[in-house]
Amino acid sequence: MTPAAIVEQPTPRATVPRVAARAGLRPWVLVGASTVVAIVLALPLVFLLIEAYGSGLTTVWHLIFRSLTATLLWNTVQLTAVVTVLCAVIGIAAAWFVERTDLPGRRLWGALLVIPLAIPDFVVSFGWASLSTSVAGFRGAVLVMTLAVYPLIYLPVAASFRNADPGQEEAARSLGVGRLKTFWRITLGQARGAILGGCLLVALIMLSEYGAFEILGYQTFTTEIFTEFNIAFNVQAAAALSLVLVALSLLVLTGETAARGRVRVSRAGPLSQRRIPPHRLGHLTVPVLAGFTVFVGLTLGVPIGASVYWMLEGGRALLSGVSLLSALWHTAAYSAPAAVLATVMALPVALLAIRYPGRAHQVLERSTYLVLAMPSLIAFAFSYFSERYVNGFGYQTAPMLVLAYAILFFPLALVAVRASVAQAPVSLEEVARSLGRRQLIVFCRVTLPLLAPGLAAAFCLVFLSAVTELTATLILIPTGVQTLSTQFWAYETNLSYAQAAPFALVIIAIAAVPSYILGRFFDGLPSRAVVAT
Amino acid sequence: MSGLTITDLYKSFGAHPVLAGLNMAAPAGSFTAILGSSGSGKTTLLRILAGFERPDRGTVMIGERIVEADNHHVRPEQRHIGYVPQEGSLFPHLTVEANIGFGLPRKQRRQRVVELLDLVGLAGLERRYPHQLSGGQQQRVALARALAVRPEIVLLDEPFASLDTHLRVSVREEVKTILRKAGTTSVLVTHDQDEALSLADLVAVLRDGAIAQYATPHDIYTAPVDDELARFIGDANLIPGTLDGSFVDTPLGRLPARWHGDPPARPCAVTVLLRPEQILVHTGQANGGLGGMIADAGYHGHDTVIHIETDPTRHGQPLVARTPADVKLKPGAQVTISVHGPVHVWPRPSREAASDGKAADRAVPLASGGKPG
Repeated sequence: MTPAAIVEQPTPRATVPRVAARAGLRPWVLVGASTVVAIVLALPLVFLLIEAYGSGLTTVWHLIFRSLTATLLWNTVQLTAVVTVLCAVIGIAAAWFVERTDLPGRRLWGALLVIPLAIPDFVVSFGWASLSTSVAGFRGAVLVMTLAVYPLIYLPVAASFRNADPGQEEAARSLGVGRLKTFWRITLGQARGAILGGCLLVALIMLSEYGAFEILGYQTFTTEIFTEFNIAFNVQAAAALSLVLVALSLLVLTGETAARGRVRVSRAGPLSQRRIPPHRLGHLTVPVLAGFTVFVGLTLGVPIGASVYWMLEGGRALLSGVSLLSALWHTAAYSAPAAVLATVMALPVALLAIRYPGRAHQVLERSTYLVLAMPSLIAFAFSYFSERYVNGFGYQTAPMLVLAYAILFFPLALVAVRASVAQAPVSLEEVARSLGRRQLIVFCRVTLPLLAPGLAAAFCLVFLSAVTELTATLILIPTGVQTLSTQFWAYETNLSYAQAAPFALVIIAIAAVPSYILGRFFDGLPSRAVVAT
Repeated sequence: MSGLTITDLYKSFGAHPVLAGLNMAAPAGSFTAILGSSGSGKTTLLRILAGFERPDRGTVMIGERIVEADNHHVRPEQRHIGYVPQEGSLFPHLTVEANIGFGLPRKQRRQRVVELLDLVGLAGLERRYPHQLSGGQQQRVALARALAVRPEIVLLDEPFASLDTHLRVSVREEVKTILRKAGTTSVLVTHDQDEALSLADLVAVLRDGAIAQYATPHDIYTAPVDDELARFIGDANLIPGTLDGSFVDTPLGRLPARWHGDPPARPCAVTVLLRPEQILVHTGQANGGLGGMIADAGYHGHDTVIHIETDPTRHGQPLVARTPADVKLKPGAQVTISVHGPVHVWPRPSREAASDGKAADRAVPLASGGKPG
């Protein structure tokens, strides 16, 4: 070795020791817990395979290859594609104006743009459809869903813009690259992971939505599966269509993974506090402000306004305080335990994925996103298992609904928990152990407090989603009980808008708090914690 | 107080060997700096000592206690070590007081925390949270936390790397004083030779997965085991010479020599180490010395580093010298060079000779690096 070599030795595996750290809980505890979670998450797929196997290949073949499937496929795919693209454009543009320009009232706009997260899609749909019958079909679905779900792209992209390394843009400009090209090549490039992550969520929601499309009279796989199972009681057809839906979700997931490629969001050095100087809007300020006002009017004004309008229209007599309170109680009683359960399930998986990264763990983690797309399938799986193997035990009981929620929204909990695991340095746990503390005590006194914000965010995210969930709730809700969303749905399908409206408003009110907390949580994170795989 | 004994330590990640038969015995109460370039495995070594990582082979003893051997692994929490990681890693959700008292039983906590805050000079900051402290204060709290549990050994992983240059020197001195007061055996890893030489009682140079030399800073600098190490630690002029008795004949004259091991029986070819401080530069022509011309002079405030082109007929190699800053020397000026003090020599080719002996000897601090001539 030459003298120079000793000074400038390559650092081939310098990072390996950190990765293989034996800190915190031991890997086999994590692997064991994660395996249990994975098995629970896989239950719906197991159901699907058993059912498909039971009905025989030819039957499944015939059920899949018919003209209905082609119609559903075309409906689902074109809607998913159009809405995802529109949401991406709106989300990116809104995030850029709020985070990167001198738009007046940026903080207020930032808050207003996130609130739609608290309004269930079926309430948005109800708001528009109750105002005009022309909001229906494909165009109606595009309008309603875009306005309802764009925050899923806005939120991560805004965080990414806020935390991006300003040096990269400045370097590009100094190299003679114009403003527009810099935006295209650097700014969007830095936010690519966030954009793709948001698009994935939007696409999966499009595949899973039931209530909004039912109101608009637009037929997709999920609405058809729901009808086959819950109304026509045709389990075979529902299972066959679910197979196609699963394949479609897999396609979305692999597409996103492929597009993500090797996204590397890197910064030079530690997070600097330096803010990127905002772009001046100048004479564009007024038009942009007008645009934001109109947009917020459409996203918030229409659903809330319509609900208020119908409530006032109905007058005091129609409002039953007792049923409202009872529904509110049941909603909270199902959603809160589900949020706790999902958060607890996400913890070992997140620790395993971040602390012991590997191909298998990554695939496991990402494949959990699939469950987001299949609320009806999860619900059927539960009712099926309960009827077939335990003689109906547990069917339409509270624990089963709670477990179904926890599975359905597990990926959301995972996103929040993994973000804070990524933020919590292993070295803290090592120091704690070197000070003579046992692993379990270290976990309780160091790891958990460090993860507290992420756990709270996971709780909020799942709670919020469970409060606004409709599909699985309709199938699994205990007989004679109503939650806010099922009661709303019952009135809405009877066209009793005046009676439905107060339920919509209460849902929005109680979902607004967790979504505000969530906004704050994701604001405080460096974007790489949210988007990195 | 306990010493630290490491025997035949091996560790590799995949096919990449990191530690290959490392031996070291740090005396009780000593302060050792393990010096290595980035990627040399020094952090891995420290993590093995702390118990966060298991070696493939080898034993580690703290005092008389075996903490790591084949089929024997004492967990980090049972090793009685104090560990100060890079960047301090204070618990962000706990106050200074709770950070320092983390490893203590409840009863002792209050009193011991007060003692330690006094020791590190941060009394009055008990209720602060880590983000309310400066970088230097955070390092001192991290040290207090490690010392609180009265560890047998304190391990420090590049504790000053994240500090600003001006802060680094003062925090370094403070840490040195605190550790001396505490009297604990300390092991620090660093890639900064200046830090290693100025801070520690003993310096161990980690190279190729083993300790190349373990000695006092003075011996490491003046009597390195081979030319490669000489260049790794500071600037070095390596010139050829012939060893004859206790003197070496060089292009710069006949100089008193010192070396490792037994004196050679008859004259032999050697490589001679001249530290830049040993070279005296006189302006103009003078008798007895080697003539040269200044190629470049770099002003550093406290001194000036000059590069000298020497007479190609006699020697030909450019030399580096360090002179007091107030000596005014311009490039192009004619100078005469002489050498001050004994010089260190290795028989040539020195690299093979060094690596022969390397694996066999256990690295223990040498009282003196060779015999002066």
